[in-house]
Amino acid sequence: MAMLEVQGLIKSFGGLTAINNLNLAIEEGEIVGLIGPNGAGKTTFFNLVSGFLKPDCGKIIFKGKNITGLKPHVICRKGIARTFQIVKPFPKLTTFKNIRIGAYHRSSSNRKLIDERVEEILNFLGLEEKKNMLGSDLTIADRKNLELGRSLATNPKLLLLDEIMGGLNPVEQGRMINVVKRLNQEGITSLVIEHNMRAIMLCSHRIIVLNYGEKIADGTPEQVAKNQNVIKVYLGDQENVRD
Amino acid sequence: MRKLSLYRYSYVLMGVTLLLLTILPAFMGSYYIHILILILVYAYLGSSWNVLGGYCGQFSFGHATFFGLGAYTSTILFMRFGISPWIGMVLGGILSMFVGIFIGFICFRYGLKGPFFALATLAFAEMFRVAALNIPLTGKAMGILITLKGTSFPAFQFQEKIYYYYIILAFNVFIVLVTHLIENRKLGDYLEAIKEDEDAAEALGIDTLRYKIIAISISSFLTALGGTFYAQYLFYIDPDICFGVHNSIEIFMRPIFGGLGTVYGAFLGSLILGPLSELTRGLLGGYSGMHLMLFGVVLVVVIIFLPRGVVGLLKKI
Repeated sequence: MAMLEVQGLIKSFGGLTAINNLNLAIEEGEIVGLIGPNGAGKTTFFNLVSGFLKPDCGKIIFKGKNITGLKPHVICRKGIARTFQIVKPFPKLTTFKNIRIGAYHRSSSNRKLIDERVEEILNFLGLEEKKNMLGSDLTIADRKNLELGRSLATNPKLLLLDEIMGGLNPVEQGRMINVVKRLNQEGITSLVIEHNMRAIMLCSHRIIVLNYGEKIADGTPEQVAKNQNVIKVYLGDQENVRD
Repeated sequence: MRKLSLYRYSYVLMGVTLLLLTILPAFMGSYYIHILILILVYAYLGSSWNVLGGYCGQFSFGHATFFGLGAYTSTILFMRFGISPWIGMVLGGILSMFVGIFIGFICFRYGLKGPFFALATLAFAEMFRVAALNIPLTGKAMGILITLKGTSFPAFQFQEKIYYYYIILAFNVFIVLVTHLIENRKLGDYLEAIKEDEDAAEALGIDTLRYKIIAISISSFLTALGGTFYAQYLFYIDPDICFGVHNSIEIFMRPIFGGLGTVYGAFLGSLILGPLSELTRGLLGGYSGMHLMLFGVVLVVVIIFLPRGVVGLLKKI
């Protein structure tokens, strides 16, 4: 049984069909890259899975249970955490408090255990020295880190990462790739939206390509890189190339 | 490294303030005690508002609704059925809480935020004001005059102001403790998260609708208790005193001035604004309306230069 299964998903905004009859499955333990040109429907897809949008049609099944149309906080508690493309740290709260807010609803309500868990996440992401800084004072790299840390605090089984490497320099990107891989070793399945091809090729086991809300390719990074449809979408038709 | 901050000594400062406030009235005339009582009433009401407006970021422009419900409930129960205002106060609080939950549910369920929520709460207060003006039970525009029975604790009536003074001081100690409890618990963190970014809060598993309704229910309950106290202190209520727009403004002015979403913000704000308003009234009494203009200027300056209020300033020192 797939961890996340999406069947016949459709979502349109007015006349624009952002997601058009999408079917896909994510197995437990995978890192799946989700790529596609701007406006392909990647973020809309995340919004649908995490409950911020309701689909017009279709089903979203997580660990065998239908979660279509549930509210975001309910979906989060079922084990799907997301980050936002435009990071949303709580600007007037410290890094520590930002992460603790995600950690509250874990099984234990013991304050000490919660604080220990927060420290653990801070250490894991290398944010311990910045734990008393306000969200608004962090650099973009740290904000992306914090965004990830907060999601991790909710104890997710499936992580939806929306361009967490956007705006990072190559060193920071490398660090983030390692973090995603290490989380994967700890048993967290990830679905990653990314525009940076190098990064996505390095960390994904499988890549799904969207274009105009439809899946046009699904396979290993090597397969996808050679796929004619994908090349066409990214680089345009051969006939249109003039010399 | 921690900054040396005046705010770190807030426990000491507040202890000293409390001690002073306890002893001081013994040396004061009745006029000054009256001023202090009004300062403390609005410090208390402002702190009640702060739970919803300051911590949760849901800016209510109609807290007069809850104030009026508290005042009218206890007064009507006392005048019609002879029920002690102390009991009426709790019942008024509960009624006000249900109305708060109702208003909260209607507004938050349909996603009213910021100015739209403020306008909706204002509209509710106006509805209650118009209703109170037209229903015989509330005495219409005449209001209700509470019959004097002499000093009696069960009747919540005292001939000496000093009793009222200590009661409202106790109210303030109570609300500071409540706010402190909220701030240092999950509830406080959740409310702040909702204020800062509702989508992010929702994505982290917070049932934002539920917590906003919890905030408005606490806030409306506490505000109503202040309404009862006010009625018992002045012995007279009417629709405008209770449900009027000016009352809503009085309530949220102090926490904004003192520091939104802080334990002592409303208290400090009231402690500064109260005497300032009296002083300007006294000094410029000859020029009608002058003191309000000066007061307005002070407010504008504070809001521009101290966006985080007096508490924000103290934290920086």
